[in-house]
Amino acid sequence: MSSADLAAVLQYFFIAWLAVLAGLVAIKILRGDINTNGLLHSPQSNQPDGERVASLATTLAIAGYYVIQTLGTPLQSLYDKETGAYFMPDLPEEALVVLGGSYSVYVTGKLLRRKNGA
Amino acid sequence: MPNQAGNTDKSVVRSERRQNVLYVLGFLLLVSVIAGIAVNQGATAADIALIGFIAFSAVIVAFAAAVLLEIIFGTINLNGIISEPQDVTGPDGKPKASLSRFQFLVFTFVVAGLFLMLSIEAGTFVNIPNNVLGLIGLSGGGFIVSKAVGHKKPDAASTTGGGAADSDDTTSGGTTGGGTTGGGTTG
Repeated sequence: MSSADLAAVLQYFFIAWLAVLAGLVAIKILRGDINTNGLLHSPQSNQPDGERVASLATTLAIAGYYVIQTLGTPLQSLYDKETGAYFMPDLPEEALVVLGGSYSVYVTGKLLRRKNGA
Repeated sequence: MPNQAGNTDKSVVRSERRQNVLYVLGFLLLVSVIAGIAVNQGATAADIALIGFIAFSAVIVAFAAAVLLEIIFGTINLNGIISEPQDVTGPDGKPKASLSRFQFLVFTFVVAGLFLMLSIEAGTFVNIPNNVLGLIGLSGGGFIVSKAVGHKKPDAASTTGGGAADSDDTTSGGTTGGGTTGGGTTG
């Protein structure tokens, strides 16, 4: 057994570990063990806040987009001949701008609600 | 009575420390014995490196497996992983979930999982582009800003009557005197 064999076993262990952890979190959220009460509400409101819904939708959209983009990109096209290294697929700057805007609206909404006591 | 209790605590701590030192010494002795046997058997540097690699891998795998098992058996409780601190509740009085924590969790899993999968596929560590680092930074920054915005000042709670409920990611500092200089609302 060489260190390369051991590394091969370990890398599959760690991807499985991360998958099980993510799966456990997902199952616990779906079963209601992990508290999601009031995720889209401000603390004193019973109604969902627009900026929270928008922020959550933006997050899920960008995360989903990046997963699909990464899984759909062949490994060869992620190889940079100049540096001789592999890269994760890049994320468009527009996505960062949208996410930043979404966070800004969320935080501004929170500040205003707090200031107005709503 | 308090002195006796204090002395008992100190002796328990000392005994635990002594035990820990013994464990470390025992571990070093074990490593030395294994190294001695390996050298005696004509092991090369590569063999010793492999043994070390196996030992460190076993320790890391044991840590990871222990964490996962304790989560599965409920010793490590994940129920509040995206919850606000206890003093922040919704209108129904139940603990409230935090959107910024949830967003941070989603991006962490996505980037970490894809990084690991691509690294396995490529057989080497892949580089992370600046925009993806920016994504993680933005997510973490949003979480921090949300905490800062939602930081409760004790005086605000007493003057407005709703300081705790106003915050989204109120830190424990709010109740332990982390913001004692403020007065009134923070807007």
